[in-house]
Amino acid sequence: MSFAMSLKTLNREALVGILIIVLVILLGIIVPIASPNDASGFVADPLAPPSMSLPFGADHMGRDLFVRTFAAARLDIVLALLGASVPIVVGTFIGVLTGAAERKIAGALWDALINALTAFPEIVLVLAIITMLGGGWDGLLYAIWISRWAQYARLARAKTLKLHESEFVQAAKVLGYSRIRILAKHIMPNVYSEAIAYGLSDFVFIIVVIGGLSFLGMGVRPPTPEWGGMLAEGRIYLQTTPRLVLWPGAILSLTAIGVALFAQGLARHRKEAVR
Amino acid sequence: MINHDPGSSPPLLSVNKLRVSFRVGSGINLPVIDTADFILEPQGSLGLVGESGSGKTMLCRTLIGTLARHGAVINGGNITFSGQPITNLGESEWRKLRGHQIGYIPQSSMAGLNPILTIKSQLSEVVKHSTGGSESEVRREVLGLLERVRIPRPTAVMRSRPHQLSGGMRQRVIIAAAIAQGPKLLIADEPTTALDVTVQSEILALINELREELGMALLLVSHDLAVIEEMCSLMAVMYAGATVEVGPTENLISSPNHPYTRALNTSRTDKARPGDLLESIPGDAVSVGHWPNGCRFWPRCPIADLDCQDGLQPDLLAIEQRASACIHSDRMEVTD
Amino acid sequence: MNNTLLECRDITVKFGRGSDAFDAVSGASVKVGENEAIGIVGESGSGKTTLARVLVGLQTPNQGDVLLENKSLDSVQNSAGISQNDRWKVQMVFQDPYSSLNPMLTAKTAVAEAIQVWTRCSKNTAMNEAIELLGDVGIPPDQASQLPGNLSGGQRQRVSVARALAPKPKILIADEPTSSIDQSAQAQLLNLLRRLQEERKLAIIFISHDLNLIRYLTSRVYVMQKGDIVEQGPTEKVFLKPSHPYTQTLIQSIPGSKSDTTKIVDNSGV
Repeated sequence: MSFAMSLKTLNREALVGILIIVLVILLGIIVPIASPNDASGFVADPLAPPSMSLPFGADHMGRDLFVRTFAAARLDIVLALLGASVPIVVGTFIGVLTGAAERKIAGALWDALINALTAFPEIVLVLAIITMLGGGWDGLLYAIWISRWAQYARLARAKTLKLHESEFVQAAKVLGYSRIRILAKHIMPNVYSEAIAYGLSDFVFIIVVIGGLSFLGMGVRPPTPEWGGMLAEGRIYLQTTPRLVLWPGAILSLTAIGVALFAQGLARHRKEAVR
Repeated sequence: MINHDPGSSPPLLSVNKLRVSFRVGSGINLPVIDTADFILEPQGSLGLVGESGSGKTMLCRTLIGTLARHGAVINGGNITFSGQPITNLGESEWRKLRGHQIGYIPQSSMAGLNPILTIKSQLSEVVKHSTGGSESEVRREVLGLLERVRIPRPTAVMRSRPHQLSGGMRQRVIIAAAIAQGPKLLIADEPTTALDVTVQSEILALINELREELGMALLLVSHDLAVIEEMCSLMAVMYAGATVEVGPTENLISSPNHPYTRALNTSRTDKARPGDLLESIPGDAVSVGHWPNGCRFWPRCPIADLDCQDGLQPDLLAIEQRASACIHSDRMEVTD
Repeated sequence: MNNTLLECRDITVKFGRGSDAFDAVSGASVKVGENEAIGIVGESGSGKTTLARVLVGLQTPNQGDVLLENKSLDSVQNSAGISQNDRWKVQMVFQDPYSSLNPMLTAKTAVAEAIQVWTRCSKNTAMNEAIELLGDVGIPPDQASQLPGNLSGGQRQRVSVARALAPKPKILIADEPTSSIDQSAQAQLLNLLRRLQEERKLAIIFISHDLNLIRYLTSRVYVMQKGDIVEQGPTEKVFLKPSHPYTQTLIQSIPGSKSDTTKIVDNSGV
């Protein structure tokens, strides 16, 4: 498959991006396990300064900021993965099916529905849904999924329609391939490949959205360690003990940058591969 | 210099051991033209033949100074136009040459035209350089230009936009823009490839008429040997960034001195007898960055031997009016 | 001429609606016999590609029939099932080598798929046969493992030919197969098609705007202009003594064909 073969020639940008992501994930796994301290346990005086046993110091409740920051990494990355991937997979699938629908009326109806959904500003939609469903990480996920699937469906439908006219799909018809085979083996892989490339850049957005919603108190609730929540909690102490905000903020930004670099590098790599 | 009589006036265009490369990453150059050599006299005609990867498109870009926007530079050899070197010109100097001294017809007629503006406004821009500038003068000039390229119903065409015209009409408009300033050299990059064959013959005839009227030289890039036979007295054959043979068209076609030229001739369908097998060139055209050592054609050459596989691409060896880059050109016999 | 293998009668295809409607093809009838090589020649807008698509089943005509071995054929879009008609016996090689192969499948996978669909053999067998078939069209095993993006235009066309041959068709329609590839690759492809025609007793219909190509390859030709077949007959005869004015114009437009050759305009003294 093209992806595997071209991994060897990935450009520097993408490689740096992957390295960062892998680093954060590894730390997210290792730190909470390796550290004697628990992420939510009270192990020191509130706002105790950094020391050997507390690399980032303690937060306002006396919890180990270092462990918390990386425990949060785990949660945030998993949430972002789920939040980003489900709309891509499901939305694209629906889009391909509607694109393959032969009846014009069905197609027109879908178009109307999808256009209506994507017309809403995403943030408004997410906020509305999360308010209805109540917060917590599951409400967060549902809200993200519902507000994001439609744009992938739209992309996928358009691409499917276009692919129907391409010569290799025409060739498949002439060769007598069944409609299912054409959809599954020829159209879907090509549509998904583009959707994933598009979706990678969304991943960054999701991380920030999750952080932001939690910051507003609508996502993951304390005391579960989560970057946005930690930013919200530490906000008051910005003047006196900025590290409560700076550390989670920095690791959050670093992760976002890593994903962005990877997405960008991959996009450029794909473009160059075509040339 | 190849095929130029030293005693006469300087050639119009002289390309000598030209080397053009893509800038890929820091300090890395990917050569796309390695040795381009040919000469074009004033009012002469030269056909540039080559397949994909030969470098002929980059050569056109070099000759109209648009290399920079494609990320390429000249890093060897020289080009003179009307006796002046043009390898180191800046954009403002190129603007004085383009359109005024060197006219250019691109391959795709849509690419050369702004889809939003009318034909009149686009040609007006070109014309304003030389006329006074009053509205009616400009209009008259544009009308005159359109008539010169034999466009039917020129007033209606003036008001149209490019997509409303047929491919052939658009090409005529492009030609009008190219010759508006009366250039000495017209460079046509596959001007008729995208056109129907009936339109093609009209456009080629038009180019010939204009050449005679305006005394222009013609550099025609084409993959179609039949077109070059009809339009150009001289021919330069390019393969993998190198000029492999240059000389009078008739001679190159009837008795080629390079195996590649010969192969191009024998794989033509217009000269083939129905029922005969075409003598095709085995293998595939070599792409930029994958040039073999030695003569670049050796992997596909029927007369290649060990000498051909080492060292550099052979230089053009001039014999009288022609030159060939094959070290075994003496083995090329007239077979037809 | 041998027995008629594939035939279409009075085909009319309309495009557009209302006042924009026009006949892309009108009242066209074409036949091809076993092992025959015929040509359909015309410029852009002539309807030749639309007619080719009708013959291969991608376009449903508004009027007219397509008959294979004297049996009526439906178009592929309407066919109820593969085994119910013989549509597969007519295969096609498309014009654009850059979009006629699935960019995500290697050459051998694409051909193996076609073989597997038609012979229902195991994946391994299909793969081996695919490699053999590709070798037969001049694609060695190392190239067969490549994705289309790593193959040249000429190579891709050959892969398309291999794929089209997988169901062992009786008729191959080649729609401008050489328009988008270099001349050296063109000669290779044409030689290949002729060899395959002989070896597999294929009938081939060449669709092209290139008169030289048609003259070189075919024994009979149909000339199309704006949807109509304006002339037809043995290729040599049509070329030497064209009776329809459009055919005459076409032939005269071939570069270098004028008997009094336009002298090259040149004052350079060469």
